[in-house]
Amino acid sequence: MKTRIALLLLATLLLPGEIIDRIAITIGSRVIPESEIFQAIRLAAFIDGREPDFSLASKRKAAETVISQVLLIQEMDETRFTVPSMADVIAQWNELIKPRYPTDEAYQAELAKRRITDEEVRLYLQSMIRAVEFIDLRFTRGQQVSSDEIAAYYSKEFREYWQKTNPGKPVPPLEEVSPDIEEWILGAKTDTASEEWLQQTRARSRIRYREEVFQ
Amino acid sequence: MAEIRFDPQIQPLPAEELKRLIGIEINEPLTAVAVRRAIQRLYGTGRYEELQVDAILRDGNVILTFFTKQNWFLSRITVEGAAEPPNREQLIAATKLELGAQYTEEGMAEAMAGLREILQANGFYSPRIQPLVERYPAFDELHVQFLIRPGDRAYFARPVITGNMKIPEHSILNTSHWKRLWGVLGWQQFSEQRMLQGIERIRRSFLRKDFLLARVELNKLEYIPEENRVRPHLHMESGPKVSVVATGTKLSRGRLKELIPVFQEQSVDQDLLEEGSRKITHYFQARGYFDAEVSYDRSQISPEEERIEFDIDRGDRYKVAHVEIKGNRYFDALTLRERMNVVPAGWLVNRYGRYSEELLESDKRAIAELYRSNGFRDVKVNAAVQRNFQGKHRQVSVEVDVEEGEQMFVSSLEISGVDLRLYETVRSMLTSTDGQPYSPFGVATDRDNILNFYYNNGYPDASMDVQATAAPGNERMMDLKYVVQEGRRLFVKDVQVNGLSSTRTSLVDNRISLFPGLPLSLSRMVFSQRRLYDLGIFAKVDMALQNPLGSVREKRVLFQMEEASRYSLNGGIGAEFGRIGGSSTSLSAPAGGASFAPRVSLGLSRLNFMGLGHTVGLQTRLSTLQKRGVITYLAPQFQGRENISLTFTGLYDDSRNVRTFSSRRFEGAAQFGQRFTRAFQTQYRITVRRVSNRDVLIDPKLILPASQPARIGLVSTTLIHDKRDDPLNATRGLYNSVDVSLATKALASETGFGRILARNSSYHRITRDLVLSRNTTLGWIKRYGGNEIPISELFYAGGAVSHRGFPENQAGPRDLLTGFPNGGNGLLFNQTELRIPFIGENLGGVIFHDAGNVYSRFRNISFRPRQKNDEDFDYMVHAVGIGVRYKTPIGPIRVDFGFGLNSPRFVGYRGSLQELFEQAALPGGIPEDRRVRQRVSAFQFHFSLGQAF
Repeated sequence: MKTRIALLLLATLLLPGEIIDRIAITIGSRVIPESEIFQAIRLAAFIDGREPDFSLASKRKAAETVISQVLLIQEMDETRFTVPSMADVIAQWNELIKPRYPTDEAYQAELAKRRITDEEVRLYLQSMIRAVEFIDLRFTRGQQVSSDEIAAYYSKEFREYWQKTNPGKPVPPLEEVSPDIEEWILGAKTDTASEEWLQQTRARSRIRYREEVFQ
Repeated sequence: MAEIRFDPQIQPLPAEELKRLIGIEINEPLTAVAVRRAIQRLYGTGRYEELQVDAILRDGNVILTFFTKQNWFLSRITVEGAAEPPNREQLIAATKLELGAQYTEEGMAEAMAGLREILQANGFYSPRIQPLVERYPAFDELHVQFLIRPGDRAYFARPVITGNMKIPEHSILNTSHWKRLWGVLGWQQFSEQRMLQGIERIRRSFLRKDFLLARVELNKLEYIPEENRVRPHLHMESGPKVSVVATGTKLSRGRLKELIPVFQEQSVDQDLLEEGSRKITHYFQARGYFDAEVSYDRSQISPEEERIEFDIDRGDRYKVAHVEIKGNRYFDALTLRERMNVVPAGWLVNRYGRYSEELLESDKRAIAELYRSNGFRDVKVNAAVQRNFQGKHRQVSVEVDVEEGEQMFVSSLEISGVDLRLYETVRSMLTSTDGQPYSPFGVATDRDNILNFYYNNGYPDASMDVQATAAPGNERMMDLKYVVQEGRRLFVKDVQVNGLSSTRTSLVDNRISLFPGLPLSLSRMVFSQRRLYDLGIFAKVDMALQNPLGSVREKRVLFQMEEASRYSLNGGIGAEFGRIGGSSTSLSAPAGGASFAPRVSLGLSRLNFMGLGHTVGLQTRLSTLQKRGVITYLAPQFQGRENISLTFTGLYDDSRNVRTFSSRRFEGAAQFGQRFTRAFQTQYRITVRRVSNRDVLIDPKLILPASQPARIGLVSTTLIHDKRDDPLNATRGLYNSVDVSLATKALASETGFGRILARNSSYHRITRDLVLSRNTTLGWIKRYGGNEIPISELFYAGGAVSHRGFPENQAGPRDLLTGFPNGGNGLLFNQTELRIPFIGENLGGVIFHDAGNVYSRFRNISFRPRQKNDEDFDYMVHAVGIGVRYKTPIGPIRVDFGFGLNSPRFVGYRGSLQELFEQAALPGGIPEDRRVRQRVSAFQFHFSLGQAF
């Protein structure tokens, strides 16, 4: 009997366990476990209303997004950027999520199917709102769009774009589309500035990938 | 959850800590979120490099295994074996490894690459670098040592020079100093510094030849392995010659270079020329040419030459006759004037005053800032300049008008986020409290005080936000809210010191005021580092925390020391000149003749003797007046106490600094010094010396007793109270000292006497530039038993530091036969000096009055200005004079010219000492024709270093 127990114990010890989580990426003293990347894939897919993709390529892409989020959150925390209130989160939830599900039961069932919780969804939304507001404050405000830039865009790109998308229709005058062009240029400038910041911050941060997680 | 296991079983954190960090309870359901958080918390401690969690399901229960790989931390980084340059500091910096940080393979690879790069930059192209890693598992730390075999340093090869440089290549090469002895000995060894210096020299040589736009660029460095040489490839473009001239008024070339930025920038554009014009205008305005106008013209003389002409119309020179400040109520005019650069004309310095539009604007800003920092948010400062002041052409007045506005006050101050136990302490350090003036400056001061308090009490992440809002219904009152985020609190786990080879550990431990269990204080860390540097035995003291970013609250503090070289050698040559001349046998110049005494000194010190931080030194001096050797043993922080020092001294001195005799001393002394406060200190001393005098130029009847060797044992104490702002060149404060000595039989002294010497000096700043200083010295010697006091132990004074109406040591009683000074038992001097600036910051002057004398007895001290007869020396001698001071880092160099108003007359002897002996033995005594009536010269000059007092 004793021998059987000992063999059983030995067999248990030798059984290979399932990896349930491990370090995937480190950014300085901050760690991103593999499970956090999977969770990011699930949440993003849920918000976008699509099925999660756990392929290696998708995993790598999600990892890059999580890194950007971590760096952005670090910056927001360091500058004490305010956290949006739950009322704002609920408003966003009502706008984005609620219309998709006729009943709360349907919503809960979808969450359970996707292995995420309502709290995680709300925190994800809160983090999104905060990031958008931060980018607006940090990278959009202070950007200026001159009338020359609007005119240049109108003559070089807008005309061509209009003629392609609205063949035969007359190109609207500059005065009419000027606010839209201004907003578009502003958006492009914001993207450029935030991308530059992110690249510089990534270069400064000690980011270390555990390649075995992505193979 | 059934069980949590660790692989390996031995973990860098204690079991309890691990349990707390993992936070997964046995018999509770296991969630992915719980595992993720456990990984994040464990990694956050900084103790793990890798973490993986595996699960095995058995009978519906989970066995969780944490596979871990621990981190190692760098506790010592050393580099050995490389020849300078680069020096050890540069090599360690090149590794980019940080003390206390995590050790990683990537970091080591970067370190090796960094070392190779810096070695290559210094001519070592094939170095061998062997990294040695020594692990100390008990502390999770490791020492990294890089052993370098640098190989042979490369030499310069003839550079490849391209471009259009208009200067011959051989001239450029000579300028670079890359050749040894102009090429006779080949090329210099290559180093980064030598290469950069060479390029800079070439660049400057272009500038000297007016090629202001010259470009000298290093394109590449070509290494020639067969020859072990490095060939710089340089590209040079001299550009056109640009001559910069000033017309209209004279301005030296040096001044032009200083004022016009094209010389520094090596570029010519409109902005730089405009800036040059502005600077020239400001330069002349500040010198009284308020209407100065400067214009410039840039012209192309030929394709190869440009000319930039600054036309200066400096106009009339004005005098700032009056500066007035109006409207100020909160601050007095003196306080505001201290902040102003515009100053009215003075009678000696700033004879035209100081004014320019730029200076006035800066003064307005400074005054406004002062008001704002005291709660006057709406202050306005205006200024008006009035010409033809008091009807006089070329005279201006400047009127500064201050509109103070309402002062703001703090209505209420609310502090949140502070631990209640610290609340009262934090509150007590604030200035912007209820009812106090409100200003951003005050708030910033509060923030600094609070954060410093937290940093020094173990809260390195503390931060603070301030909210300031106008109080409802009263715009003059502000409601303040300080929101403190204390953050984590860190404690000292232990302290580790590395790098000691000859220094005793206890010496270092005593200087480190960080103890296990106490909050980690930033100021204590810096204080400990300063105390270690104060020992004077360390070239470098590096300090770091192990695992600084990890969330573990107890931190190990690391000190990495580098011991300084233990031997230091110093030498110097110099000379004394003054009225110190006259031979030791001639009696012809009792008051001294102008002479020159060259001097050589040599010293050797052994620092950190026996690893105790003590210093043993030998200092020697040799001159025609003195032979001196001193051996010193100094324990500067005796028994680890910073305020106590112990010194043992052995001295041999053979000197003739008093013209009357040559004195030889063998002396041993022990001194115990104690500093009670920054200003107050005492010294206790025991001195035993054997004194013998020879070549004594006094009455032959007295020579024998005066020449007898004597042993003197003294016990003495000195009290010093020093509140001067700068001991080398005091401008305010006071200095008091009392030295009391007793020669006693208890110390085998053959004579018994007491001696007191007291000094009191004070320094007063009359205006910003004028300093009135005074000094009084009083001395008393009284014999109470034993043999006569040897002649060399009496008071001798006069000269550069005591009375500038006398040559060195020529004050006081004189031998009635020879006229040579023979010392006194009493001494009183009073010196008064007005210190004034002359030119610029460095050259100043003094006007002085010195009074006093050395007296035959203390009771004979007299203020009487007249000398009764040629045998009376107990009267007060007065001297007035002027002096010049040139400020240097080691104190002012000074020259003083004194004029004695009532310098002493006396009778001396014409002839040699031999003749005196012969004639003294004659029945008729000394013939009258040999007795010469003379006087200490009324004109004296003194050249010295340091102020007189």
